[in-house]
Amino acid sequence: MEGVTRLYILDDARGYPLASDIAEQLGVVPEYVPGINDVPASDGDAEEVLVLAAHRGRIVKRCPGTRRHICCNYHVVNQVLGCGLGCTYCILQDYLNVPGTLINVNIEGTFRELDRALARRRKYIYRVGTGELADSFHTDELTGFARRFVTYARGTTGMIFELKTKSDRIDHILDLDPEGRTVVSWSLNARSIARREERNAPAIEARLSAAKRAAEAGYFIGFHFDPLVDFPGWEYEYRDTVRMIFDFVDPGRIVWVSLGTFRCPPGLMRIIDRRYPESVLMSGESFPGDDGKLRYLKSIRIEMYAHMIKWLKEVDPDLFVYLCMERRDVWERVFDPASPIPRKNAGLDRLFHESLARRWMPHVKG
Amino acid sequence: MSDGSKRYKYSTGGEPVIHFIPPNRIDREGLFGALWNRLRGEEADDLLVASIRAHGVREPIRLLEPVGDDPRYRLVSGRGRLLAARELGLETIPAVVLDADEGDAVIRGLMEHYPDRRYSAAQAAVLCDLLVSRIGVDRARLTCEILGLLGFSGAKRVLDDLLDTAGLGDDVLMLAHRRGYSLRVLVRWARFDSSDRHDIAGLFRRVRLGSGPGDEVLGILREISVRDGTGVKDILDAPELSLLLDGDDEAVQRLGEEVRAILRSLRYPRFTAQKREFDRAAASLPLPKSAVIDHHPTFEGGGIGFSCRFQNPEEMEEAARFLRDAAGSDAVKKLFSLV
Repeated sequence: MEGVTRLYILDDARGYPLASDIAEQLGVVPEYVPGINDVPASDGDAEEVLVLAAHRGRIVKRCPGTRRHICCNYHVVNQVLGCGLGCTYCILQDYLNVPGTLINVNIEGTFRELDRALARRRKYIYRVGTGELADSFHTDELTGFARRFVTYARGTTGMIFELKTKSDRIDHILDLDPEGRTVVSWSLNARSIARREERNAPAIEARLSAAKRAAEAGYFIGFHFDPLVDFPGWEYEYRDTVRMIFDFVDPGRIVWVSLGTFRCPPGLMRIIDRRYPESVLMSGESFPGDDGKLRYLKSIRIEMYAHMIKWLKEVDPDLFVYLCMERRDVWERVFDPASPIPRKNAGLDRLFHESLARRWMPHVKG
Repeated sequence: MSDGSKRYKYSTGGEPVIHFIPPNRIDREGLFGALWNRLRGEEADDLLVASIRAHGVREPIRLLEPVGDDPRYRLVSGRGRLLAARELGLETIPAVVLDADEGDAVIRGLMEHYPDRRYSAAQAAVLCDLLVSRIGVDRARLTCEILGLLGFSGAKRVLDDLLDTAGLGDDVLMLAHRRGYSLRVLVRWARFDSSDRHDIAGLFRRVRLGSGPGDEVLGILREISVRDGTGVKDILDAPELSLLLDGDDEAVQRLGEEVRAILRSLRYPRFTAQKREFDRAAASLPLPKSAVIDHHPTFEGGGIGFSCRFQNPEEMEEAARFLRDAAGSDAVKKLFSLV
């Protein structure tokens, strides 16, 4: 993580070795403040501000999902909040009220919380990861959290841990044997979207090359096409990206691929309009859905999903492809009628479980 | 007084001293003159002239002492009264000469109008620009003290928006002021290049649109322009629009809603096509009297709707017969395929 010029350490985080480590690595004199509200609002680039905190309360949370849309019951660890990749569509622009990137340095507390979560009886495999409110690797050279999570996951049962990223700087975890319990997943997109809307992220080829290295090191791999963006020529570009996946990664190592077309709350649309008026996201045919978020016209979403599923399944019919936050009637229109369609969130959780039981569990050590 | 002004002690105890000053001793440009000229023109307001003719100038105007070589007082507030006094040929006009620097004078001028006065976004934009670029008022002070007096939130972003929109050009600002367009509309307008701005002004002059619809139209124009890589003129040259806009002026003024509808169809071609197809398929069905077939407004919700109001049992039977017969028809299959 480069370019940090202001480092704030909240009182709660004082005394944690990681806090002083990070300050030393950055070579920035930290400013100690009592709480998050005492961090001055950033009047410049929020990327320059790093806040070190120690979370209190729960840090492992169920993905909140969205009304009348099917969610997969994923769990998220909010160890880091904020991301410096500056993607045009990033929900964090609207969602986070932190004047920079915030790192919770007390990872031991997270492990204790995960221990408690895993101690509960569960019907399905517990899927949890760090990539919801941050990129799992963006601050990892400072924190080393990824290695800690991989090591933690090795000693668990009934859990699969996901590190979700756009980064190609993942080599520092490749010497660890994940024992099959960690999935490293990449967010992918059409090349031109990656170039225009994910400006600070590595190119698609670089991400896939990193995925190849991770797979060779024993990690399972996931891919997320989210957001799929409607633009003239999307069919050719997304098909290219799908083809490229299999040039780099053996489909047998891929545990899931998610699809989600671009969607956003109206507030985020206003932010995008203000910050990135030339963004192609502004010109899609979006309308408010049942949850108030703007989504592409349903027929456009169906067309995009149907194509993506066809291209992915052509290579591996058993590949687990799912829709993120979609309506049931959309599921019904895009998947083979013979495929099981989840009625509710638990149904999708079950489909995950069944697929993992086939594709993943036989390869897990221990 | 040697300068021709008469000075009377109007009251004591800290009350302002009223001067009676010949109008030609006052620089009507003053602090705000150029600003109001940009938005209102240089003619006196007929109603104000009539009122002053009948009752005289009841409220003193606000001035600053002359500075430098120019012997004229500088006008702070009361430009309308000054123009009317000149038109009526009054020998003097009552005035309070403020003991303040320009920045303070502006604030006091604004406070005297507060809270009754409502400033349009165009006025506020030009005013803020004037205060920053000509008078040199500090931005922080402007944000903290003055935006509130103008009726805007004292956020830094609001000041940035106002200053951005001040460069829109006098013709656009004057139009925006007359129509009372919101700051949001002006911010959107300012994002276009100068040629597009001019074309938009042409459209807005011909078609009466309020702030909400105007904001929508600007958003649509921007989005089509980004999507298709075209200028506003190309969009407005679309056959459906140019046909509509070729009419005589008065008729065109009534067409705001139609213009918006056409722009929406250009902005949302897939939705428009789907809706047309649905309507065509529905129209091909022998619907019973008063029956309507519809869909979710954005096709997001699945299914099709059928509603009917019956006047008698025969109509109910007719509707039941229709539903039974139509269920297997190609038109109904088409309708379901579209939702």
